[in-house]
Amino acid sequence: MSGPWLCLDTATEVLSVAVLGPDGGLLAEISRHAPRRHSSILVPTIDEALRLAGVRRTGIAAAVANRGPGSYTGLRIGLAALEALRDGLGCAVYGVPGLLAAASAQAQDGLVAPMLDARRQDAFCALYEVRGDALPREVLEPALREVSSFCEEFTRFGRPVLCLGDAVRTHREILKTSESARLGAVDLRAADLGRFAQRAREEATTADALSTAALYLRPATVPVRPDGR
Amino acid sequence: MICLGIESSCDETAAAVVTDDGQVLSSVVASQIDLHEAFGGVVPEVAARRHLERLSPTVELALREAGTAPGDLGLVAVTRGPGLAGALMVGLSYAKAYAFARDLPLVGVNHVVAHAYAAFLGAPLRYPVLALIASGGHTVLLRLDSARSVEVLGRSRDDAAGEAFDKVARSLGLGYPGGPQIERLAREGDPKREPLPGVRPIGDTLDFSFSGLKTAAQQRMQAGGQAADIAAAFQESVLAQLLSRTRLAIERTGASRLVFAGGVSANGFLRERLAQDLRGVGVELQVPPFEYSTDNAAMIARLGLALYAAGETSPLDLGAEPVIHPFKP
Ligand SMILES: [Zn+2]
Repeated sequence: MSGPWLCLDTATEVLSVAVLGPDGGLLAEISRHAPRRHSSILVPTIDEALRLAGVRRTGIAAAVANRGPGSYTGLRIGLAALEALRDGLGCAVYGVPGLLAAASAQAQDGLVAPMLDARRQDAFCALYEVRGDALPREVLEPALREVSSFCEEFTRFGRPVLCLGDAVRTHREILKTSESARLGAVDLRAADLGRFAQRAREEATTADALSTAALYLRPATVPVRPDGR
Repeated sequence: MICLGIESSCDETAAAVVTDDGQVLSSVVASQIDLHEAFGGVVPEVAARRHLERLSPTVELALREAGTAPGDLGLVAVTRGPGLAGALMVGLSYAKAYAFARDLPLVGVNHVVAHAYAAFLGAPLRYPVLALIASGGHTVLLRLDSARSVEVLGRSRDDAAGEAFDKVARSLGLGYPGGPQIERLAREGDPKREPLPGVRPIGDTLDFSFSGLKTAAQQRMQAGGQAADIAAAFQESVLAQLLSRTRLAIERTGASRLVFAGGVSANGFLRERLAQDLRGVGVELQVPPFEYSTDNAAMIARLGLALYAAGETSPLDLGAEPVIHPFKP
């Protein structure tokens, strides 16, 4: 795929749009802290990022978006736009598991724990082992967990764990109690989603990880009886 | 000009292709009713998830059925509200990105006003016209002088008419959605055996109220009344109220045509009786075909085209308007 890639991340309060060259080189990136405004600003931000990169919309070879986990509404805004770009432009599209992409962007070998704010004491989190050029190996699967118990769990490995994502800021005090936790970047980047997809699509084993179906990690609700009780 | 319409405000994922003279080239509705039946009503998060899964295939099917290529489109119209926030945002995000991708103008439309335009599918636009829109989410009486000049004459002060149907149906032990079930059961009942209290006009307004009726019906049921009789009496009372407000609106505006639309307009009993009564005063009743009385995207496209022709477009930062209260176009 020789043209530029458009990358969208709407999973957290920071909306991020990046344009990458086919080799993963960054052509443009815009990040905005815009809680509850993703629906309004996503398309104008795409427009702006493409202009910044000097890329025409019809020149986009592929588009990627964060398929989750993260804010349910945020994921849907990004994925709905992604499907519209595919339907409207005919470009290839990929949904990228955000936590895995964040881990795979880390240059240093070791344990990486991307964690995103959920409600109250919870975070969407996972634990990965990063080693060399291989895609990260999943140690604890992506799930909604209480931050303190997740912290206890990874501390048991007795090795340093690089914590990433906005839950690192929110739950800093809890993480500081662990001798393993190392605090890393709070804001994840759309460019990392694109680079992950560029790598992963070469590897057949991860191809189905790139579907555009949202990864909510939680059921929408539990059915009640038809009489409402 | 050909318009792609997109609707995702509640529990129907819909896409349609409509021409600027009102011909429906395709109208695809992916209903979620089965999905929500187990919950006894629409669950917002369930609805939003299903919209995302269904929207792109629904658009694709609508274009295919219409024999329209993306390059033939001249406009994208989308529901901006009112409706469920999460559900609306799926349709909006798709529509905006699609319009951007194809470099097409976008028009965001009001879902409730769009219901009135269902009556103009396959029919010419004619103004001025009164519109009585009654659905599960809304009951309003509008006067339309053009697509951009819509006046709210009256609205429900409490439950929407369709909501009252659903709640009474539940009390009578019927399933969801309640409208068709009450209509069926009412045919076996006698409306005079369990008469419900009339609803007095609310001051000098053309506003509606359905919550008192709903409660009265529920109380009759608890007191051991026959479900069929209560269903029949409930329908009569709803009709009486729709009629009294409509007649008053006709008197005040001198209108000679009324559109009756929204899910409640699919009720055959209400349709026929309303038409009968209005014929008596020389007013023409215009009702959408059954398939367009409930939520669909053809009506969204029809209103979008009318707005666009009148010079309106929406910016790509168009946001969702889940709640429009008090109701305005
Ligand atoms: Zn509706």
